[in-house]
Amino acid sequence: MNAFKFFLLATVLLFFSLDLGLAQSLSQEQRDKISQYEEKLSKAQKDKNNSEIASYYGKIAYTYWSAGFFEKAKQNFKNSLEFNKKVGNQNGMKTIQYNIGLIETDQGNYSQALSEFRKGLSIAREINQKRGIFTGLINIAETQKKLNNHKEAIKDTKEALSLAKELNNLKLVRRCYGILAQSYKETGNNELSMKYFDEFSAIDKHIKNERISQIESESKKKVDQIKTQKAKQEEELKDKTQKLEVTKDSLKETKELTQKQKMRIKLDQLALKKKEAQLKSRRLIIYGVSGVAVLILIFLVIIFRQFSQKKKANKLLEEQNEQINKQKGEIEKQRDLANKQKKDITDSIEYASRIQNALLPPDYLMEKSLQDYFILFKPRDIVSGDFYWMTEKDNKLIMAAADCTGHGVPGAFMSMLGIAFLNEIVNKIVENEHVYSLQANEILNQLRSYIIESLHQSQDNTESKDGIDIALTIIDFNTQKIQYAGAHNPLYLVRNNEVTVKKADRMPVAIHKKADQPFTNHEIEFQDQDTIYIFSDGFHDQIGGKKGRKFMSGKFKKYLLEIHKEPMEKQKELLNNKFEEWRNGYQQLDDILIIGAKLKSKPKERLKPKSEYDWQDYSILIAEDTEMNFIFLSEALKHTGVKIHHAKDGEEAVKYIENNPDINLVLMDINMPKLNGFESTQKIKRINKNIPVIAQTALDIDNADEKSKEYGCDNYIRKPIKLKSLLSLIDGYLKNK
Amino acid sequence: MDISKTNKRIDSMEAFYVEESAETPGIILDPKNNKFKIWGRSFPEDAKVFYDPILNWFEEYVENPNDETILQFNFDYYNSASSTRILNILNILEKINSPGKSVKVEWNYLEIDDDTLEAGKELEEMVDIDFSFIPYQDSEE
Repeated sequence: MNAFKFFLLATVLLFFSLDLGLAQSLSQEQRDKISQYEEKLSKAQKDKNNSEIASYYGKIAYTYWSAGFFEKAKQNFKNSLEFNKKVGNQNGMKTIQYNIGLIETDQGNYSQALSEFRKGLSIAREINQKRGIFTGLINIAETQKKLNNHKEAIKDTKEALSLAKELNNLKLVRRCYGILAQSYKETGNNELSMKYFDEFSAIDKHIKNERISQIESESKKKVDQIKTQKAKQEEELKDKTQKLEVTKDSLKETKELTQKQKMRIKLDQLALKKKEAQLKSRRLIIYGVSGVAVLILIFLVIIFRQFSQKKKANKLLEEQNEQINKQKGEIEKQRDLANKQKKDITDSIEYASRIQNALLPPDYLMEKSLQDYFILFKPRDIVSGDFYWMTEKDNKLIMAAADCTGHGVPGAFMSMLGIAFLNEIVNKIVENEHVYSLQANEILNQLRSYIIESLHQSQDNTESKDGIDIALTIIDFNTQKIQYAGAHNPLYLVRNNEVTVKKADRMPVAIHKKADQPFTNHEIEFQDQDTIYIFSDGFHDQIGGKKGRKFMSGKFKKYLLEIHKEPMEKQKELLNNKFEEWRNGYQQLDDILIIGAKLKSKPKERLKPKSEYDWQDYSILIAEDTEMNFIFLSEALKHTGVKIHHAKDGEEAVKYIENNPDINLVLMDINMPKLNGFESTQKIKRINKNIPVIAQTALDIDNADEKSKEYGCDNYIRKPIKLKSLLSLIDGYLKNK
Repeated sequence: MDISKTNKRIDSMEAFYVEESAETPGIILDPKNNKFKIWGRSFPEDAKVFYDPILNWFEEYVENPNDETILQFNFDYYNSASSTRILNILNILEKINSPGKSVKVEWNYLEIDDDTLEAGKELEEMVDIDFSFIPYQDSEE
């Protein structure tokens, strides 16, 4: 009976507490949230939108869970699970299983929790989501620990550990070591427990140190911010205090006044008493008493007024304080938000700048090709619209200094495009037409087409005329020649104390009125010790000096002449100093880029061919209409040093031989448009019967041999071509000559 | 210039003034007194916001222009975003082509400032308007 009573009491208490809990734990906000979700849920149900249904059940569940309503949370999660299943959202299902498991753990239902976690884990394995598998394993391990199944816990944790290592996530690794240390201890294996504990503390120390230094720098920043904020608020407070001081002063004055009046009243009283004594007249006494009464009344009024004024002043003070506090809170809130936003943005731009820097040519490449050079690169913001670019093809150095419209992030976007396009253009030219046709202006022409096309620029669209100003040079150390082509940005060459300016075309690499005209190609022979400079307009357009003027290119040119004999690194330093001196207080307006290079003529040495054949003094014409075959052949012959020419059909091949008597051999494809290989050979032989022609044919026909001879081919090879026999065949014909 | 003619105009547009600042040019567009001048530096935070009202003004002006419009430029510095807008202004002025109406650009530049001269030459190439280039000496240097 007693037991029954106790049960009853317990039940009542339980209900009571539940009820109370409901009333207490669901805040108004949470209740609003839930009813909002429920509304959306029923709409989703009406629309039969299963993924929405799943999502809102999940949201409701989370809200209940955070308020501590486990049963309701579980129920809603289960509903969500059902609909996630319907739409096949396995990731969602996995998460929900884990959540239900966690709720079961919260409620102490460990074996139930275990089964939920396992369901989630198997989904995670199915979709091969490593982070998900890790979470499942750790959840299971923790639950096993609770159930005293330490060996099981260790097994799962070890699997989790290898995943954490794979994910390269120190925090996860630390967690695994922690569990392992505990579990081994529970199983009595102190040695392993100690080992894992050591590992745990080592990583823990590392993470904490990192966190500490992070917190330190963050808090330093915060302290500085708060300091300035505080100073500002103190200033405001001081202002307010001053105002209060004025109020206080007037109160004091009033007080002093009353004091004086008090004195006067006392004096009057004395005088009255004297009179009273003198006259001893009852009437006078009455007058006197009533006079005193009146005075007391006045006195009381004054006191009352003083009191109420003070009260008023206090109230005012309080109100002002409250307002200050409120404003302070608002300011802090806004400051925090602004700080966070600023940090987020700065972080992502910093990251972008790392990508941008990675795209610039690495120092070792520059050093290898130029030896004596400098690059002054001063972006205005974190990322830059100026960029420099360089590549080396066949002992030629292609180098560009470019300036994209704008600076900062928009400029950086353009610069990425520019770099990608330049790489593609140069590679394509080299692959398709061989390096001998590398032309500085041609690169700019193509770059312009790429930009116009990719940015969908047209003459009448005034909004998208973004483009690139650029100075591009091709330095050929073999022939000691520089090619230069420029859009707005010139090339300076300093020789014997004299500056030669190669003017750029007056148009950008972008849509422009003159976009149909090719860029101009300049060719200069360079001498040993010539110094060339290419640059963006950032330096000479900088406003500064006494009058806030531009530096101007004339002065820039003069200054370069003045310093051109200094070592390159020194020149960079001098330019930088000059810039800072000129800028003097004015903001940097644009990105700055200056490249200087001292040119050295290399001793004329023969290129050592990498192949056993050295055909540097020979030229071969490849008549081949299929691009792939031509690339294959030119690659195969590249190492011999032979000069390769390309004709895309039979007619072109004949014309080529007509115009270029220095061709030593023709590799003739048979199956070509316009004029086939046999007919072409016939015509070529009429022009020059001594020129060897080797036919290459895919036609697997018996009479290819005969036909070749009939039309005058000196020899023929069958495709697929065997490289070794091709080379020895060609060598035979070249050396026979 | 025929002043009596100019004075007769009763439908002259309102003049447009912008004071010169450290980052934006000074502007006087005054049809009544036949004065059109843009000078100083131009690298506004947002070139579109700064130049749109000016472009709108010119759009309206070319509907009913003076007989002779001489637009005087005297730039110390302008950035590329501004150069697009300046070209836009000239493209609008190009539309004045009815008989008896003329447009000219007077491009003033500091004698030693090749860059500003070059910039003017490029603009000249891009529009169908007569340019005159007028160098001036620095007052102190």
